Amino acid sequence: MRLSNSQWEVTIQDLLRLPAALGLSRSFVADPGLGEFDTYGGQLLVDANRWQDYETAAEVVAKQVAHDSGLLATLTPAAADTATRKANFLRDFGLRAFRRPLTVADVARYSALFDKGASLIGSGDAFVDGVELALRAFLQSPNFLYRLETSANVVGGRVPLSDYEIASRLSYGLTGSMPDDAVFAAAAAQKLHDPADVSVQAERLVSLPSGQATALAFHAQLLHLSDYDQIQKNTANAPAFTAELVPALKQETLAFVQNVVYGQDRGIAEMLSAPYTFANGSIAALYGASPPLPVGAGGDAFVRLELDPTQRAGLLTQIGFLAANAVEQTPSTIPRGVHIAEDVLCVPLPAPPANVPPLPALDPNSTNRERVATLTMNAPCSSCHTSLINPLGFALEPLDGLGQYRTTENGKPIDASGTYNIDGKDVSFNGPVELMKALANSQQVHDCYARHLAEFIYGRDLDPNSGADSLLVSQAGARAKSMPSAKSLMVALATSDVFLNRAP
Amino acid sequence: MTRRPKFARRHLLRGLGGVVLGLPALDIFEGRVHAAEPTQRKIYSALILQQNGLVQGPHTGGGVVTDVVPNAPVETDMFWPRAMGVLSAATMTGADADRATSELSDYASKLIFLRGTSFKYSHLHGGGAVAASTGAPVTGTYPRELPVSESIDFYIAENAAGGQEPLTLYAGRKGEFRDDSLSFGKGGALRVGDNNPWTVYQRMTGLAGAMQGDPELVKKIAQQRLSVNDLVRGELKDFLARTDLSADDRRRIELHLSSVRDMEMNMSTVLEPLLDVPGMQAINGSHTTDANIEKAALMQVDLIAFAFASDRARTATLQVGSCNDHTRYTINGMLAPPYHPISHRNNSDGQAGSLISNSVTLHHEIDRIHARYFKRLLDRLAAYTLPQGGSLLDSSVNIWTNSLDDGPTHGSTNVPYILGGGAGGFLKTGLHLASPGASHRVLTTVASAAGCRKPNGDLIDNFGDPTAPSLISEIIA
Repeated sequence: MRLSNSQWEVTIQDLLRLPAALGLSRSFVADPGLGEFDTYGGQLLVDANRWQDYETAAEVVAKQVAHDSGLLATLTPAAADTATRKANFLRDFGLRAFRRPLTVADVARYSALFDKGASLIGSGDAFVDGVELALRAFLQSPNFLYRLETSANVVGGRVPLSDYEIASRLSYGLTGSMPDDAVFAAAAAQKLHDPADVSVQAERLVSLPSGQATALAFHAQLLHLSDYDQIQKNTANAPAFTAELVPALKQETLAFVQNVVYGQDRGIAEMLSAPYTFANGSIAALYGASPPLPVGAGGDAFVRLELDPTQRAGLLTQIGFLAANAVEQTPSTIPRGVHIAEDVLCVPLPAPPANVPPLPALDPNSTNRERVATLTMNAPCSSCHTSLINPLGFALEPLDGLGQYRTTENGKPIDASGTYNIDGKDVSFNGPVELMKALANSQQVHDCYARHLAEFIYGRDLDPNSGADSLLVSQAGARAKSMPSAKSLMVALATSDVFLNRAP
Repeated sequence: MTRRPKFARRHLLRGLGGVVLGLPALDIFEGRVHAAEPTQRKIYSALILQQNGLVQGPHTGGGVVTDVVPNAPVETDMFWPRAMGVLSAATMTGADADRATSELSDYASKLIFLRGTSFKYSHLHGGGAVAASTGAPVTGTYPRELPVSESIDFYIAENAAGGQEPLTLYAGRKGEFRDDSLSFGKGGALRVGDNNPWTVYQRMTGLAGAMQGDPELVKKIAQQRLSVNDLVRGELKDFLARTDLSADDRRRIELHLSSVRDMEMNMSTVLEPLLDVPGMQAINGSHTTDANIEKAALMQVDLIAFAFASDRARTATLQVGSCNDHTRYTINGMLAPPYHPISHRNNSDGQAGSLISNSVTLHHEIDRIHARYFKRLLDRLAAYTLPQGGSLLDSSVNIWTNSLDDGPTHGSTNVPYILGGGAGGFLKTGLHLASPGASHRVLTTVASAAGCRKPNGDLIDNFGDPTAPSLISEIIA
């Protein structure tokens, strides 16, 4: 699978041991976004535009490194003579670029190219020119751009991956970048094929800053945090909903996830049911915090804010999710329901039909629930909406499009009651808190979370027809429910049989 | 081995008043060009896709269309000329001046308006664009369906343009619902469009301007790149030699290998007045803001014409907006609501928002904006004259279409196809016709116009949907 743009960027930073990313991928053609998560490298191709992007970036990086004495010294430490220094560079940098030791043929190829540097570049420093030319090739090589798994020996119906291949799976799956020195050392010592040994590295990686950032990226994609960018409210009705609020709403969600996963070492059940959030002054005001948190300069830190446990429970009752799935004050009941069905319960939904009739004219005396129910009550809409979508969305009706709690609409009481098939049986609830409690206690939800997390780490859809993938989901889901730590679930997924082997 | 004539493309621009900069021939590339130059006249083809449907009133396209859905608000046609048959510039600017297509009146005699086309295999925001450019069956699930075969741009490039890489462009924001879904390579592999005119321009010209003026420097860089490319090609070929490579991996590596280009592709360039290069640089980084999306779309259109004029590409696609385009256009000096809710006529991405009272007018104005994108393409192509006479427009066939038919129903039974350019006399232009049937008929006709033929020399008749071979004979001269 090809490195995604974000993986390329971080990999370049780590490969060159730079303190910050160079930002060159910002000018790359965007990745297609075809997969559930941006880690789905199998769907990423190299067409002519992208190849040209890689070529240009490789030339920029190579020139920068070759003409920066500090970087050059880091990547090509002094040696007894130039030939040794060159050989060391090709061996050591090549291993880190290809994420495996170079073969004899690799060394011969790159050594020959290195030697052409003096004549092709001609700066007057043959070593520097050789480094520049070799770097250009390393960074355009398929061995760098793809995460290649070439192990082929079938053992017991599966192909055990090499230590270096597992090193790449581990590092990209858990930190979004190339292996660090410790992982490389473990691979070199052949300490990355036994699950217990792999677990040692996995536990370390998930807690690194890059591991935490990767875990947050997973939850951001699972929760469609990018949808928050579409939040647009009429500030005449909702003066707090300024452009500056959107990044703060994202920060609220991420701070909450960070606290649950890393602060408390808990998992999806807590994320769905916690009666608190993390807010700055502006967001706390939206929740009606009393006493208010400070707003503005010096008062914008995100701190834990206790919420009314009869009104809110977890991520899906936070203002960002509610406002993003709404138009002005009116909840978008159907998108809310679809999100929960697909992303939390893993209920597959078919495409909506074409030529959907418009909603009946807005009756000022009706409720949003009544309008949506009327729209979707007849075939073909009813087959999905009545049982698979609407009940989940209706449960959130007490939380309006601005995320505010309400008990009436147009003078009528809010009806947030419903029944949904969860864990194979009909579960009744009334309102967001009861629904979230039911979800948090559900095995189906834990299976779904484990499945999504595995797909993110593995960079592919799990195959419902694969016995190994299905077993993985059921085992990981059971573990997630019995041992509610997202961190330990990540480690378990990164040490699973499916992760350490590939299909023939 | 075929030897490519050196710099023949510079002759394309003679008489335009543009500055032409040709770089010296680099002998090291002789014999490296795999694609033979076709001997017939080169036909260029661009496809521009609008999202969210049109204001075209009730379904009156004729043929296989659905009825207006019950309770749908009645809308009048604000898009098409009133009369079917021959297009008249005088009528388009006179009695039909209130129709969005009047924006194209300058080219009445070079246009074909086809209304009433339907999508057969995929629909709505997730699948409409796929159907618009492929007409093909799809795999996968909504909204990430992929066609089983290539799109029209790739097909023409492979079958009538010597395999020359299609230019794949996009204008507007990404990250909304589904983004790129218009251009597809072999087997339906998605091709991603660049949405930044500045990086498109840089990629197209290859080297910074100062370098282009120094032949020795160009030769040196070309030789460096050649050495690196040869090494990378060797590595890719090593992978292809593996017998345990899966079919998917083989296809990926083959695509990668074919994408490695030596500098021959970029070693000449044309500096001419029809590109706003400083403007491209000025909006670099802010090319997806609402304030700049119109500018960026027009620049992308200019780049298509530039690529055709310099023979860097024979086919191009431009997808304007994500599949439920939320661009906020400025209309009559006012920032309009996001386009997608406008298309639904209410403040929502579905059916449940409060009414946008002037949404029909706003949608009509957005249709006009998109008409002007297409007119810009026609203007630019008409400005490039060819040494054998006529313009690039005359030697091209270009499409403006939509991923839906109209906004409120989000249907796909009355999809518009506007063709511009006569494909060197292949097409009968100046017509306004009903075109019942699926989109692959239009695409098959366009592919034929662009020079695609069966092995026996007959016109092709089954692009996209092999189960329903068909051409639109009424528009073939």
